[in-house]
Amino acid sequence: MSATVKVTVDGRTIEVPAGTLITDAAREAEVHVPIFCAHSKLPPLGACRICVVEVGMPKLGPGRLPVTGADGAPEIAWLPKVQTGCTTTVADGMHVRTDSAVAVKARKGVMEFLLVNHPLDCPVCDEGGECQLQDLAFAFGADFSRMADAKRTFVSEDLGPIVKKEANRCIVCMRCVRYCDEMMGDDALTAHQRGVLTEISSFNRQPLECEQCGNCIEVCPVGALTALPYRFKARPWDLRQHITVCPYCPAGCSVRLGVRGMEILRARGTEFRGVNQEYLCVRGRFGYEFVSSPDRLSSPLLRLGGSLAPAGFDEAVTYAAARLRDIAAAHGPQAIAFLGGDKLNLEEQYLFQKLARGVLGTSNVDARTRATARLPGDAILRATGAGRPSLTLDQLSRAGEALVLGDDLQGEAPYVQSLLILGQHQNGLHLTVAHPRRVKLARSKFGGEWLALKPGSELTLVNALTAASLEAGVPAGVPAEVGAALASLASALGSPEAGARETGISADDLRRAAKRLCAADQKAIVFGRAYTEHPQAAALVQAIENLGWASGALTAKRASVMFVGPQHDSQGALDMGLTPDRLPGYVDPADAAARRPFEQQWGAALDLSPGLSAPEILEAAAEGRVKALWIVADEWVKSAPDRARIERALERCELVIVNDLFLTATAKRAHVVFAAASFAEKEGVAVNCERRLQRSARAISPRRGARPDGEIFQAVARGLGATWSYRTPEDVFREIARLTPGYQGLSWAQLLPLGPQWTSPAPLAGPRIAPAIAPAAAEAGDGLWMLSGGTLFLQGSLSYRGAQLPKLAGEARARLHPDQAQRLGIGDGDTVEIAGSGGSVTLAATLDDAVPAGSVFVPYAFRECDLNRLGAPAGAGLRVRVRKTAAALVGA
Amino acid sequence: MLKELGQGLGVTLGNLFKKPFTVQYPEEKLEMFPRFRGLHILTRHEDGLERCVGCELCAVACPADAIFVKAAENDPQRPNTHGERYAERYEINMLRCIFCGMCEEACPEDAIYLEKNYELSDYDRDAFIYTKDELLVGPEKSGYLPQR
Repeated sequence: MSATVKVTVDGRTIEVPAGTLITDAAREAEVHVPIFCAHSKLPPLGACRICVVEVGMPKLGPGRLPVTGADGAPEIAWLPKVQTGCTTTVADGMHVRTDSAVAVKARKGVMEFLLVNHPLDCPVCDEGGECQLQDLAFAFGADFSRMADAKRTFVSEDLGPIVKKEANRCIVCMRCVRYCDEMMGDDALTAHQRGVLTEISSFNRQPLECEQCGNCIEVCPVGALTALPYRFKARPWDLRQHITVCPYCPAGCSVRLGVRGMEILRARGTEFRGVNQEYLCVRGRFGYEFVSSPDRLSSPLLRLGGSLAPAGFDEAVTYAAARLRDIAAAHGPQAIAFLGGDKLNLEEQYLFQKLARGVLGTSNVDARTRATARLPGDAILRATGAGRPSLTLDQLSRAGEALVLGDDLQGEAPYVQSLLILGQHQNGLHLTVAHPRRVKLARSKFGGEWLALKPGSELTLVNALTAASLEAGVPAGVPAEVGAALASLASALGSPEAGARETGISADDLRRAAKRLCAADQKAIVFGRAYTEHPQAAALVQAIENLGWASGALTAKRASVMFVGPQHDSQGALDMGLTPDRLPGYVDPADAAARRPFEQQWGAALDLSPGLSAPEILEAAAEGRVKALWIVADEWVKSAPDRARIERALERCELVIVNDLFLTATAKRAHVVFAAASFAEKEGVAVNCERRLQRSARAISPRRGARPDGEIFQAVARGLGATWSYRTPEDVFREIARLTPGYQGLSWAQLLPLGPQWTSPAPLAGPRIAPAIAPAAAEAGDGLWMLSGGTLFLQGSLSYRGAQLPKLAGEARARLHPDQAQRLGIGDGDTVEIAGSGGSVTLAATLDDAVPAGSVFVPYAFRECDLNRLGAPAGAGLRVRVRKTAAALVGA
Repeated sequence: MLKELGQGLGVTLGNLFKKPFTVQYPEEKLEMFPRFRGLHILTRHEDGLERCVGCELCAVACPADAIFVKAAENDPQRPNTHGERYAERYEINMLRCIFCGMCEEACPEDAIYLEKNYELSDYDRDAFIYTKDELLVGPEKSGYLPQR
């Protein structure tokens, strides 16, 4: 079978890969074939029949030679019946007619059948105006109906708080059911009855127990499933649609915001654009609500005489600049620290650190505010291939083996989770999930391997996997010096048996997991904040780099290790040098030749010593060594690892500047608060977990009194005497693209419609293979392991400002294994006190057998639950004591 | 020449004794033709519920972009319309309206008609934005549809 075949669609001959479906070939030939049930992420089904076309093959005469007609053209033997284009693959020489009398008549017939029971209530249907059935009824349908009988009707249902079902409108294309199975792995929808009585609903007709992602609504080609939060809010033609990048997780999904007037009314996927096309998770779809919250700050605030009072922007800028200048003069620039920024756009991140390094002269810059230990600025870069062409999300779903280390992707990056589920269903991907809890991907229905490690043994596990990988020898395709280093690493690590004891996973399982990873042609290792915010982060990320090289996920040519950061632009923050020891593009400030372009551009001599990292800044501020803090887009009171210390730090600082949308707990303790613009109110670039640069558009103008962070930085820089004159983010981006290794040659125009992944022609850092050994851990102590992690419905301090997400998330619960709870005498719903070294939190308990015994799981991101009150984790993690304080109310 | 003068004055004299066309507005008003297009009304069903379901087809049909509609969901206990949806806000900017009648033609519910009221002058620009209260007919006119 040849790799490509020639096919003629409506007289246009094109060449497409063998195995292409007729509908896809037609799209290639720019011929429109209508589609309802087919979907690019779903296997062919052929349920709706609207894509019927006439198909023929050249007639063959004696000797299997094509018969030619009188005009010399080959004669076509048309199949006697029309075929569905979405299930038929093309063959060489195939002819397809979509506009012949037979095809048109067939399509009209199908359309008539589809409309037999359709209520045609387009004027009151939320889909009306963007409904594919409506469009096709206009295009292909007859303008009258021969159906005189009554239509069959169903009762409409609310399937939970998100999905409204109007089954009368349903054309039973099964897209929603299949999408939920194939992509979400939730199996929440099903078809009841059969034939004409088929009705889509949940299995027990109860509210859907699923991720509430609303993708069933998105893929519904008609108005059978509509979104309750958007119900009757607007018609599609009322909305201006702007494509921006979702501000939540690092997958970087494109979100199409529908804006009427100044209000964002809905968010949708983009269908054909972005990394996600139609997909959005629940946060992407309903998490925009904070933008129009009435609690937004409407002007900068200044603390003059004890309390915060509204001030003009110029006044606030002048005050901030003067105070920064005074403190730098009195205590030296190292008394100033810049924190946060991984929720900003790339240009703003660049300006933020330029303000710190180039204008004020401090290298105390760190975006990783949740970190509990210092992690070198280039550690993640090395672990993800040092700028070598990296794995795309699409390739991730086509990998043979994917190893997910430590993160619950459901909470951290739902789209990455969905792609892995899709890969498992359609592309033969095998999952290995290393997580103490049985997270969604570790469920047996996904056919993967769950490495249920004991909490605190993360480093041992990664080292054991590396050791097991190296038992088969050094993989091919690694540079020579890596090969030598790996050989010595193998002897340093010993055998996987040692790791088996500590992790609680048998050596055989470890060997099998390593073998699968090494043997797979296409492989992927995914890690994220669970490891980078771990007290042993430096050793863990080094261990991941070792594992990458040892398993062949990192080679001289490619990198198949993906870092799923904590925020949507965490990768950008690393790239832009929001780390104390690296300039943009991971340039080492000690390297005179490499830092010269920055010094020339910024007109300043740079501070060569590495600055303080976020946990060190926290400590220094609490001890009074750092006098001024600028915290951007971060609720540091909640995100800092130690509550007592952060309170003391903010108390002791002479100047705290906060950029935020809301008067957060951090902002309340600040001296200057700048009202910032939200993601929808500014233009810029975000870098996602595959290192793809994506441009987001401005959907609405900023709230009165609020400004984009970049403007604030520029105003303060000018107040400090700098001569910055950027008019647009594009100006900043041009400077970034000129200076930053890895970004060189990128242009603003190139970033649409789908931006490129940045790569570096030469790796930005050499391989470093070293045995990863944890720093001498403090006494682990007794008590339960405190497990925390992301949760699906909430992420960050913005997510609980809307209406939908907090409602879906419910209240924070401490999750305990039933056996563990029984030992502690705790029942479902009881109130428990969790006490750590620093303090305690009180919340209700839930029994959950996905949580291992000997530990308690509380997601962060809940508004009312501040886990940092427990004290900072140290060593291999945090140990807490759990006790019951009140029994559950009966009937509550 | 005298002859022509006489003919001309004859016409004048003839018209002098005809019944005049002039109407003494505003004391006296003309009866409008059935298809006259004046100020819009929003009609009601026989049971007094509004006909308008807030589908916005009038707004999208309007060539002058004079109509603004914001729909909302009915409270099942006290519905405004027969269906689930009603127009929470319905506004017509009469300074923009060109009285073309496209809204009436687009309406799938017979909810909007251009009626015979042409007395639309006012002193204030804002007063020309007719809101739903001003457009919706009173409950005494439930079931009334203009004959065309």
